[in-house]
Amino acid sequence: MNNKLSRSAATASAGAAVISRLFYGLMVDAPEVHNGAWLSALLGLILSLPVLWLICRAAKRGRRPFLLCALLVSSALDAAGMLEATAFSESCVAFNHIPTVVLMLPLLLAVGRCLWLGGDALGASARVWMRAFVPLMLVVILYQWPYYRPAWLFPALGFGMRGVLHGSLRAAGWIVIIGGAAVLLCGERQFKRVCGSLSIAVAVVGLLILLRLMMAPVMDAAGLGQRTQLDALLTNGRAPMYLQLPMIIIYCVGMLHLLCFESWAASALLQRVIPQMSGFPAGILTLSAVALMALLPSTISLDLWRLPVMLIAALVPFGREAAVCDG
Amino acid sequence: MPACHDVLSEGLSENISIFKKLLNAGVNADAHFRDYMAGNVPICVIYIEGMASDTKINDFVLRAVASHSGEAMNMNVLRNRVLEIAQCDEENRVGTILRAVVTGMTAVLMEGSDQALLLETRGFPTRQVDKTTNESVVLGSQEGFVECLRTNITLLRRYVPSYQLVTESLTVGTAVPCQLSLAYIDGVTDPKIVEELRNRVKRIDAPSVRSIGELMQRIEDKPSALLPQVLQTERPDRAAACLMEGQAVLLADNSPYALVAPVSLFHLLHASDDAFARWQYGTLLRIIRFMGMLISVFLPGLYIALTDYHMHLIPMNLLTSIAEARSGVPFPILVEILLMEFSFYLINEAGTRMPRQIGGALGIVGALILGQAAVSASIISPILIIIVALTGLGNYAVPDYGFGLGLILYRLGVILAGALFGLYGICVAAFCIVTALCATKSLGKPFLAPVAPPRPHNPDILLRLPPWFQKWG
Repeated sequence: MNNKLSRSAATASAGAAVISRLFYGLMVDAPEVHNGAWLSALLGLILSLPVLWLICRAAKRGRRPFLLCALLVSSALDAAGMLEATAFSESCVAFNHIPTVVLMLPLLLAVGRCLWLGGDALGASARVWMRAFVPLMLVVILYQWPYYRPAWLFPALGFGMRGVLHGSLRAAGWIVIIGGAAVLLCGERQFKRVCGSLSIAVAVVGLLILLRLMMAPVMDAAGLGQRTQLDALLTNGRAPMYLQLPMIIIYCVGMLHLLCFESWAASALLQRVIPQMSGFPAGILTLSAVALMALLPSTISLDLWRLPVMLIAALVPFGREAAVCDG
Repeated sequence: MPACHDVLSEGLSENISIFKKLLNAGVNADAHFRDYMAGNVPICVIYIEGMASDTKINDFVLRAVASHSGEAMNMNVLRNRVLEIAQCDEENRVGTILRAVVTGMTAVLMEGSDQALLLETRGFPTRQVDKTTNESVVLGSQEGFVECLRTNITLLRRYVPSYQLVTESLTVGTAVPCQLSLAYIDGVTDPKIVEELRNRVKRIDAPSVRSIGELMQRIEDKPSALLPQVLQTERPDRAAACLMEGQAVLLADNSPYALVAPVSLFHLLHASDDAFARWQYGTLLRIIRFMGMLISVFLPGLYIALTDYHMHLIPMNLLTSIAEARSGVPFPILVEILLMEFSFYLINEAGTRMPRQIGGALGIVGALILGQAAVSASIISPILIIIVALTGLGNYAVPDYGFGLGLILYRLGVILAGALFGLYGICVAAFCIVTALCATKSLGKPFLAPVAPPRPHNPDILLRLPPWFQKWG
């Protein structure tokens, strides 16, 4: 298993992964953000860029092992969460009679295949996906155009600024996990390119969120569960039924890219942490860990968005020290 | 027992006995040893009947030797003053001389010389240059490669009349050698590509390479992949176009195909028509082929997924038609589709193998029995015939035969994925297929380049821009 990541693969993979992660996270995982989700995405990007810069600086100055471990654990945990979420999404679409565990099997096969093929193949696949994504989205937008209601974008902050800030912190965390892994794996010199790709991805997510918000009015946050949100997203009753076909494809393939990138990143980071470990055992360990963590009850797994906060807390003193050295 | 790595001695009778033993003279009725006198020096002409041209041997060797008079005869005089033949090389290795003789050349041995002369006297029957059988086009050249390597090289040279065209001779097969020719344009083709291809051919350690298909699998980056990573074409105009784009071409003796590498997925979708027709129509043809490829792989799987798991996605009128059409069919959709796919390819295979005289009957059998009768007996639904027909048409719209075969296997995987997990399974299958294609390489170059990874390229990938935008090399 190749643990290298070229620049073009890093920018494409990270961009595709961030689009899916932020969209899923802000639309499904954080329903309390609702109308303010696009703002949370933008604020999350603004918060994450300095952290990514600090990660680069810290990596150059000897903090690499710590960063690798932190991002490895974060990526693996997030991948486990996304594995469960994707399998659960499918049960909402058509397979509610099939256990979620069984629905995870094809995903694990896809992840295992990607681990074997390597990061460059995944990046190239993300690039192909981006080319297919644009026409599919255009089809969805054009056909749903009569059903969009701009009035449903207000109130712009959804359920309040607190929710928006909460969402932006989570968004920052997800961007740091994906962007940090991409930067460390493809080389700190590609920092600007990766950040450029992440910025474009966040802009795309913002647009997608706005379109999604125009499809349904604000509801009481207490009544919004994951299943309700997924139902509204994937089985939207307002638009013609056949439009769900491109939407399901966009959702499934986007989530697959996210899941595979995070899993591959965890495996590649593991090889960097333990250089003596070859690709095959690293891939098996990562796949097993992700599968196991996905099967654990959610109360046991860590709340991921706290990890980047810890990362920031660990780096800030170092950041000040770097400024003093430079100054 | 004399060995092929031996060298000749100066004794004529000794040399003759070596070749008689190796060629099984006396048992092997084709091998001829013509003793003659060149002046007062004995010579022996060795050739294989049928492979060498008797006329050339009579006119340009024996008659020339007989009519010579004057200076004393030796190998030098024989070669430079007596023999009236264009190609004449000296060789002293037994193995090389033997290989030349069995391919139609004539060897001349002389008393007192440890060298033999190898004369180009090939005259075996070969097929005439004719229309292509598998790569027909509406507009464009109608010539195709033949089994004779020399003719194929000549065809290439006619299409690329440039002094920069280089045709290197290579051999594969340790026991039964096969002559190859590696063609490239010096200054246009990347030398690393030529070096890599040359090395891969030289690394082949098989006793024989029976066909160009086997050669292709031996030089590919991933022979276990479902899609070919080398283009196989029987059209010299197409091979010439690839040479001009910087690719290398490999020709093999006794194979009416050329191998072109490196190639991308998009090259496998190109046809000669695209360049001959107007660029707008060329672009349309390519888009149709691309859509045909997607229909071929995904249509049956989508049909199963939507009808089994996602019926709410089908418009009501169509859903009603499908339900009515399937009302009397006893089999699940998966069984129906697999049955039809099997029947389609059975007809295909039978049509290929069947003698021409009775081939016409197969069309009637296929259409009437397997189509109409099956529907009348409610074994399959009519809509499935449309699906399988569209799938087959999409498959055959792809110009490269090997590519089309690979698509069949991908289609089966997508059908199973759709039957098991609906749209979700199809998305996972599509993702796995695309990622596998992204990991595939052709002579070390990414198979999906220049789309992924992005590279500067000639505007001739999916869309064909006007000729004045095309670049050389």
